[in-house]
Amino acid sequence: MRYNIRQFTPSLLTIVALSLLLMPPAHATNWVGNDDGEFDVSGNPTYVGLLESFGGNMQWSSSPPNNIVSMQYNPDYWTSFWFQYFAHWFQTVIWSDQNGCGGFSIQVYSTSSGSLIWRADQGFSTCSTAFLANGATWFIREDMVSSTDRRINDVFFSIGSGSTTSSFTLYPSPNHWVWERSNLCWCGTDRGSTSFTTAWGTSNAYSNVNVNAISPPVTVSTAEDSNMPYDGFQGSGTTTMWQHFGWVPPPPPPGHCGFCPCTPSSTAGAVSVNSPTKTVEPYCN
Amino acid sequence: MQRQRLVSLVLLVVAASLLVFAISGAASVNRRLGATTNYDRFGSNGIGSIGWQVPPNTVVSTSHISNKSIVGFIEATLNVFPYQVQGGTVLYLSLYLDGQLAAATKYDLSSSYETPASVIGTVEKGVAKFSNSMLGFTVSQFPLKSFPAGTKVTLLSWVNNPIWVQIDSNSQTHSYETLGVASYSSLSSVKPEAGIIAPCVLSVGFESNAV
Repeated sequence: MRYNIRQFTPSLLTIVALSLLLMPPAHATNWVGNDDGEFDVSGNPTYVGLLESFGGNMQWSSSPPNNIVSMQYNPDYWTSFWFQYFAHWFQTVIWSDQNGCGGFSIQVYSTSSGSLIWRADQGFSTCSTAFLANGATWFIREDMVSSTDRRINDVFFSIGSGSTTSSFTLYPSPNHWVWERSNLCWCGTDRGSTSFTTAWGTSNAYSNVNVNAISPPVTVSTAEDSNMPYDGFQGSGTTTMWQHFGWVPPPPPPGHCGFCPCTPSSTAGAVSVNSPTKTVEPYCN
Repeated sequence: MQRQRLVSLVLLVVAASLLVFAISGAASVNRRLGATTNYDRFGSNGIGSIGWQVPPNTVVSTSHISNKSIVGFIEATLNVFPYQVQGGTVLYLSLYLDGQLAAATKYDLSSSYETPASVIGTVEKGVAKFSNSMLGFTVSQFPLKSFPAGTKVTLLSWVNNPIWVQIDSNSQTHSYETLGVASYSSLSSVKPEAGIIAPCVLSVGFESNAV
């Protein structure tokens, strides 16, 4: 048999064309639902967290199949495929129904088979509709074993509003899984898509090292989706990067304060988060 | 001719790799991962704010019977209130399936936590009510061959200093304690009901794949 590159060329071009057709569609500019931008870190973090602060009430008209919404902290699909322990996908989630009853969850899947590898769950210690109201905070922080070891040692979950808070720190075992660049999804659950009617808030991605913005990934990893819009990131390259989610609430009637408590120090459009333990100033008009 | 053959082979390998990559990428879109709220849990549900102060150097055994087949993995969680944890506290967890060791792990607890729990009311007979903050320590095994419904799953815990562990006041089972165990190592097999009945039932939840 004689090998000839000219004879191969049509076949190769056919294969390349077929590959391009089979490639998953790109999602570079959507910034909505499960197609949010990603956050990565410079250097070796000891923690990387997401803090969601509500500046308005969160409501939805439908969220099939169970009428539950979720805050998903999702690692990048392909980064997980190539670099995670056994190509697993390590997801952390807070979910809630309309009564503010819900839970914290770690779910680990195989990127190659899609099957569930491991999970652990914890219900909220209390239910509260305040968890979905202006002033609520939803909080997931993934803590590493050390500054030289990106394996995830524990995941800190918290949901709260005012004096009502439920906090839980979950220690996965074995702790094989490493932190990978990730994104936020305000989503449905159980492969469903949520139709939010109102929502407004600030999402802070923070770490002890600088956090960097990345455009939405080529391959969306999670099956859940929603109509939640996101702004682009601000503060990329610092230890706290933020973006807004949802829709700006309508202005208050004359003579009334807006959608959050206004104080003399409140500044229009100002958001200040210096560390995960500090209070987030409300985003006021 | 030899060089041309090599170039052709390299191109063929590259093209084939690209095709495999594309197919796997396309397939991944159809098997997207995601957050499910449907999971198979048995034992305690982990909800509650009552804790019992487990004495130091004590092995506590808590067992539950699986109501479904155990498939893929088995995970156990023991909830601890971050309250007055002494520095140098070591917690061992061992997981047994029908008395045979499946997994074991060790935790070094910290003396300070970001959201410490606080006692609400008074402590009576080593039992107290706590504010809403807990630590969930897990031990698990995966992958795992299937075990039938009815498998007895046991969590053994040992701690060298007293800690406050969540209890399950509604449980139909018992926890069993063995006092005065100065050091701990996991045995390959155990009798889950060894020791004496403990004053409280530890809240131990188990999870597996929901099939």
